[in-house]
Amino acid sequence: MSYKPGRILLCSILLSLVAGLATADTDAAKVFHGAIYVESYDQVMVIAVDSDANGARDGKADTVFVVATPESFVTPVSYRWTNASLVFKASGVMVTSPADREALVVTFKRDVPHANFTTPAEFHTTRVANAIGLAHHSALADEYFMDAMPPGNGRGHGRHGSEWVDDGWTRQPFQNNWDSNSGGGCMSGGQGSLSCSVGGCASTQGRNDCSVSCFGTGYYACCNCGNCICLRYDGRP
Amino acid sequence: MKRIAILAALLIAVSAYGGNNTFTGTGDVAIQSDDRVVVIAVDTNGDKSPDRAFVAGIEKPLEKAIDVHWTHASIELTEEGSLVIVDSEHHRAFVAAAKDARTFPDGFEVTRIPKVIGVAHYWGLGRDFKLESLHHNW
Repeated sequence: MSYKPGRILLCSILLSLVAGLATADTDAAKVFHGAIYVESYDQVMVIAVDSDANGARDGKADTVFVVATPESFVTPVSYRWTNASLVFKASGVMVTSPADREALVVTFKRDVPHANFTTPAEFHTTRVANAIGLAHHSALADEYFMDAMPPGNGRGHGRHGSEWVDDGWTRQPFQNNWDSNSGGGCMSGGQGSLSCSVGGCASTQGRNDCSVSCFGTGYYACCNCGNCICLRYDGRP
Repeated sequence: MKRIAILAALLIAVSAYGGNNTFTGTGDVAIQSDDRVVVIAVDTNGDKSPDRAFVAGIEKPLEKAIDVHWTHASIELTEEGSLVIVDSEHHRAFVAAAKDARTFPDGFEVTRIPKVIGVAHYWGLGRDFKLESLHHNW
């Protein structure tokens, strides 16, 4: 087979044009499929995902999103979707559960008009349009059993007192309002996390959205608006 | 010619995509080391103001400080956090990664940052953003 650089270049340009058209949206999406549970707690909403990726579900959350809002949820949010999809963009999050014909759309207070997430007309859609922050927790250090996710201020799910499993949910304060983190700590990430990100920061705090991935042994990822860094476990600078 | 064609194909293929945990695109970049961080400011829309920035945290200050400005460079931040910047016109590249087996054509001047702790990505920077706020050690 003869080698023709010009032809390769031409094909590359055509391919890249197609790829560019397909991905020109700078609000690129990351998609998760699996069991997705949602609970609101005062001024935050936690979205836990036990995804189908990497083999199969194991009953434990492998990704957790935390949505922060400036006020408490007037109408509490609580969902237990067993087969749902989550679309994560820089401009927000959309979760859809076709089996339940339900959807959840989270957009930021700063974005007017709000990002355009389209759900089927027949779906009952819950919209949270006043988010001021969105934390993405991946590579979770602890085990977070989906069925042990603490009930928020929405409808309960039948667990009481001693039935709670002593897992990551009891140690990780996902349920804290973000203003309670102002004295230190990480809005996203924290000990055990190798990566984290925060979004929706700009309008309310004058700080920027950011993410970080940490490689160094002995470091963990810590994300706050305008400050995403890797910190040493031993606390040394 | 073969190398140029392959390189051009790679550069074109990585354009026109943007995200937050990952990013690929092109723009003018300013790379500056400051003690134990290397700050990379990126102007992707040509308005002479950085709209994205990357920070590589390092365990020890670089033996030789970096302060360069490349125009029309390609930038790639992978899911694993590897940051690769290529100025193909001037045959030079910058790599900040824990593990990156990427090879470059002969004749490329490649700056690899050793002992990288991690790489941070800041996006949606306003015109009033103060880059010096990123210059503090981790």
